Amino acid sequence: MCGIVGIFLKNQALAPSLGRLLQGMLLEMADRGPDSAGFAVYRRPVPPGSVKLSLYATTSTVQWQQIGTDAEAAFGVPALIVHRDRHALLSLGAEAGALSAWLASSYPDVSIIGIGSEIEVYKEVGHPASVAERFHLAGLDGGHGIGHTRMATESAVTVRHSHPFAAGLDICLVHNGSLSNHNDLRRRLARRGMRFQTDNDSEVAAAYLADRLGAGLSLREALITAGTDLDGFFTFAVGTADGFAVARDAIACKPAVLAETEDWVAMASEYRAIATLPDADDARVWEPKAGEVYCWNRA
Amino acid sequence: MVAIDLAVTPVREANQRIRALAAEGHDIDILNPDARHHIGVGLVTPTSVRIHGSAGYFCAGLSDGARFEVDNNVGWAVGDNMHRGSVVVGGNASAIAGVAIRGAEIVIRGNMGSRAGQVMKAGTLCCAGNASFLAGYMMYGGRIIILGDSGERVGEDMTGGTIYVAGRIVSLGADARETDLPAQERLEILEFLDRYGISFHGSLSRIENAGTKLRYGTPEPRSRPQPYDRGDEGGAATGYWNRRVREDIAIKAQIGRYRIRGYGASKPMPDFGDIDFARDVEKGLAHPDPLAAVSLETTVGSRSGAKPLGLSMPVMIAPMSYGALSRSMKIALAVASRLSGVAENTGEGGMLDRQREEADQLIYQCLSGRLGWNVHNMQRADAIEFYASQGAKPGLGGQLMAKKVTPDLAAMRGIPQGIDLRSPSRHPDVLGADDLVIKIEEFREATAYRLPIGLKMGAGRVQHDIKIAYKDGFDYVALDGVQGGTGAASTEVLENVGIPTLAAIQEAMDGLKEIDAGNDMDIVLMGGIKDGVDVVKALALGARACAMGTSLLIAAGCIACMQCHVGACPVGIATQDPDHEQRLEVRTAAEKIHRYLETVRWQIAALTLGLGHTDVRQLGRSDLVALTPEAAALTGLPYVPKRAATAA
Repeated sequence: MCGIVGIFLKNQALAPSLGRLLQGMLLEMADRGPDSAGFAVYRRPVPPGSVKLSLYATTSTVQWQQIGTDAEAAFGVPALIVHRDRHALLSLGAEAGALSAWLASSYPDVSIIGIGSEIEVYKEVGHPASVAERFHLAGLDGGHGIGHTRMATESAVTVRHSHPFAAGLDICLVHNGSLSNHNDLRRRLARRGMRFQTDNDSEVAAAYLADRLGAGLSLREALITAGTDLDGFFTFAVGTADGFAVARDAIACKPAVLAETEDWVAMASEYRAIATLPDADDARVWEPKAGEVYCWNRA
Repeated sequence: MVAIDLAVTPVREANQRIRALAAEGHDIDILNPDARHHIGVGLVTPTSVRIHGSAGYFCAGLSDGARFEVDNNVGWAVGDNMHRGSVVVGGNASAIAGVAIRGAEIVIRGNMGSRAGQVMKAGTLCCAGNASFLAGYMMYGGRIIILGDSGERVGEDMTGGTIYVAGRIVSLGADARETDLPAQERLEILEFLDRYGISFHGSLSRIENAGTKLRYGTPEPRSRPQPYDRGDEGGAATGYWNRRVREDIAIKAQIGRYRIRGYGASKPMPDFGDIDFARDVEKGLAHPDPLAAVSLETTVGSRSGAKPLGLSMPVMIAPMSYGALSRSMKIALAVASRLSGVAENTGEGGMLDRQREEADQLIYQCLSGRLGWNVHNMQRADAIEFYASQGAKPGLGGQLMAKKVTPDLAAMRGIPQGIDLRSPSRHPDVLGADDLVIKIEEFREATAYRLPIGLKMGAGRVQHDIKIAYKDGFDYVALDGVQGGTGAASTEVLENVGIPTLAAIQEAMDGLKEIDAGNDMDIVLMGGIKDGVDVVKALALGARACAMGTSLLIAAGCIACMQCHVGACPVGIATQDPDHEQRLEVRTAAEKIHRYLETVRWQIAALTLGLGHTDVRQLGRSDLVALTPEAAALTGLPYVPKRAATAA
């Protein structure tokens, strides 16, 4: 039960304002989700052959600089670690799978919450305004981003239960709704090797997407099969390296509004989030259809 | 014109000023609306409100008589339940535009979102652009004019009213059909469009209800309820394939569908009889005047700072509709509530004037179909209850069979008469805890934050649901177990869906404890509460008060034939047939209910005293033990079977 937002800039001149625009939208959704918030921003790609990890530490004693030093030693390449609150970004020239495996064995208290070349994920418990402030969202530039405010109804209020959920390289998902077959689906995906950190239904949706994408489906195809394989109600916003997508369940249970101008495409649970954007009054505004998938990609 | 700037004025304060300015005869300009929710909610004075920008959810909702203009877009549920007056939206409208309107005119110059006009009763919803899917979903009356394309499944499960489409009919909904357009109706539409300055010369298709789903087919034969007793006959036919099972199969073989009856679950399940008091209570029972020695006064619903219900004892009357029950019975309950100083509840279907006059305190229920729901009755209620579900049929809407849907009752509810009424199973504007927050705020705006807002909830997955209720800010939760009664429901649901009242209260307490909620959100427990003994046990388990329904009907003369749905109640309680209703004398019935409530009062006082307390608030879990392993497992109370032996 939540509020979700997403913005995709068509006009790159707005890139320096991305964080500010996303923050404005996110804060409008605070009533829908006062318990925790999170967002993913796609910005500043690392060089080819490198990978960028968004990390979150479950303990307060983690020595981020030490992780950077250890990673350099393990992989024999320079690493860059940028520390933000309980999160850090780790970038270095290594293969994503090998780096993830190394981190999981060397630092079990550190979770990878986003991985890819552009994606940066930040999420925390607390009011969305305080979460945005902790990570200086307004100051982040970028090409597109998605965000989530969470009202926990079943599972616990923790960072791990917060959205966005990573679903593969540069892919993450935010979800408004609830799924009823997530336990069954989690077991089936676990048998296929997917690993889970929580009992949260939305994490299962993210893992489902990752699994389908891994099987060779396009994002659009994966979201279409999600409509039949996921039992429940949902509006999803999904971020990828070069675009974002919105999908709704077959009977459009949860609210969703899309809007588009020459400069941007935006999605939100409620129109008031879109109303914060520049030139919103002149935007083409419509309700996404039930069971439909909408995608935007950078040409 | 007076301007209110929402950049500096919160909506709550703005709405207060709008009401005050309208009362002084001013027109109002709203500046910088920035898609704020609830603009103009609860306005019942004719005036003009111009919104310079976009409005959010529930713009002009629960209002009567004002004219609204919105320059740009609106969010969900513009004009929710609006009676008279109009809203003109310059841009697009989000989902459920014109939901549940009762006469208003809503004009959208752009496109409109899904489920437009859901459960509308009267008035006009006009969209100059395209509609999205399910326009006219479950509408009961009025007209929808769509000058663009209809969207998918237009008119799905509409009961009454008419939909006109100028563009393409993308697809017709279930039980909707296209018909010819009478010339007179076309003239009326052109007149309407002209009034709002919409130029139109094209042709129109007309859509109405096809009438295939309004009534059940084969009627169900009358039958007496069979006991849950496997040893009822002796011989080879006993046990598994007993008379009850065989009768059920035989009737379904005849009617080809589920069966319907009144009352709640009848199969044996753990109940308050399976727990007992931990100590002997003779001292209280022998006391010459327990009422003087024990404090019983109880308030319910003060959490948000609203004026709580003030009860002379921790008891209220359970929600039962005018519809399921006769007018005479509803008035008798209202009179009894006054005589005994407890609260009465409208249930579904609206508020009767006489009921309002007689009831000392009256709770007004909002159900999914918004039948008999309006801002004026909200504003004269003492509490508002948002019905999510009930114990007898969690997850389903109400049922009222055709014989009970009289012209008077249909007019009050805003529906066609003589249909087998099946209320929607979910609310048009609440599809989750997040939407519910915004709905509750609309109720608070419409009642100036004066009234407690409660949630009526059937017991299903209580431990989760109670946390949602807490988070959403309800002042109290009315929690209803499977033993709770109903006027009509399918037997499958009655016997097999809900969970026992005893389990429900325990789950609620466990859920609230998990989130450290304390005890500021009151729980009113109901579902088969028979007497003061049950009330004391419920209070000891954590309830703030109990609501009694079936027991009070029995006090008034109900013989428990369980045929409430048929409409031919032999004692005039559950009927709309005047010949049957006259068998119930209001004054006599009210006095019987009152006398029974007074014995309940005495029981509560005597037992509380017997347990060593002088205030019902002192009752606690240490006052109880479980007599059966099942009850112990459900409640976590100590299993002390020897109390049963002592009691016997």
